[in-house]
Amino acid sequence: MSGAVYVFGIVAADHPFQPPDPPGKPDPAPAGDDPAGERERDAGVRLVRAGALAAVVGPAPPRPRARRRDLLAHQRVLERVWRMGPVLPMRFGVVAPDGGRLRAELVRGARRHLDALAQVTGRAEVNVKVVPDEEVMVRLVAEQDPAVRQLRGRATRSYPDRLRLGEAVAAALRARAALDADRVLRALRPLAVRESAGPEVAGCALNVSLLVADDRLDAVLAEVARLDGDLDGRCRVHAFGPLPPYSFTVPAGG
Amino acid sequence: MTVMAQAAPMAPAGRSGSLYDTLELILDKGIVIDAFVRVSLIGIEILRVEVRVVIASVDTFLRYAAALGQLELAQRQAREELVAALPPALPQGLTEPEPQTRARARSSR
Repeated sequence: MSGAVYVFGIVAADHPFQPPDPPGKPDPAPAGDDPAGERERDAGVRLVRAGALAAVVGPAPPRPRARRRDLLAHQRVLERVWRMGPVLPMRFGVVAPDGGRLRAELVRGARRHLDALAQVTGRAEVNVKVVPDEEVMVRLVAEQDPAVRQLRGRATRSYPDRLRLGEAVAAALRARAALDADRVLRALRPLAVRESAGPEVAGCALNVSLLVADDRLDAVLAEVARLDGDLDGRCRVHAFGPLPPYSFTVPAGG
Repeated sequence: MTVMAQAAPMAPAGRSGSLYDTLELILDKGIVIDAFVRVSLIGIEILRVEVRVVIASVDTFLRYAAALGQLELAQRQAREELVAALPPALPQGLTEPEPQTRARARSSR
């Protein structure tokens, strides 16, 4: 009760934030596995205002954890707030020691945060992942890649031979997938305002987030579907979004 | 901002646009305020393993080599099935001696 708060994100002070319904009230539109439980956890979400900005905060967990439900709560609260108006998401797990120091931080970073908010207003993040189909790709490079073909011709069952062959397959597969990833990025780039490289994720040849104007979302999703069908099964192209602007919380050029 | 019509993140068929598809975004992106403790999170290491960075490991190489082996096996089986399906009227001289001569040529090298 010392006033520590979990911080979900930063919004403009005039954000049309509505607190969630208190738990116990009948849910007009049940959603998820445990709507009552979710609402109970989200019930304490409120704004802490400082000047032109406000922080979206909730009760700090007594013992911070990153269980599935904690991660989901972070995403769910941010999505809900974002649907009401622009928000700059915090990274998962930020806890402010008290309201006073949180307000001081908001004032200190006000200019940067206001710039960033202006840049994400009317825009959404779309995360795009290009995932090679291992089976299709291995068959392709076995037939087409000169190095793999050569090694394959003379490889024995010995451990070093298998290692060398596998390494050649991995290199050929990476190179082939990079071509497809590049093609996807070049096709989508003109539809986005900004892009942000995502962290490397296992099994992904491309992980990129795009900042997309609301009126271009349909075009982006349609282009992703077209690209997905155009790669002859070598790679799948997945789009996740529209999402809150997780990857665009720092203003461009600032 | 206009209110989004989609109730849930859009995802292509076969994938649920759920937590794990964008987990790395809430763990790696977003604002971090240096002055505030970013709580040391129990369980985060396990989650990190699930979104682990691609490492071109020995395991991967061996897996690919095995996949190639499987591919070869499948191709050989397909060839054998094709041969078995050939009409028996094929002149025997064409199918029988050829593998033997090839084998002999290799062993003489």
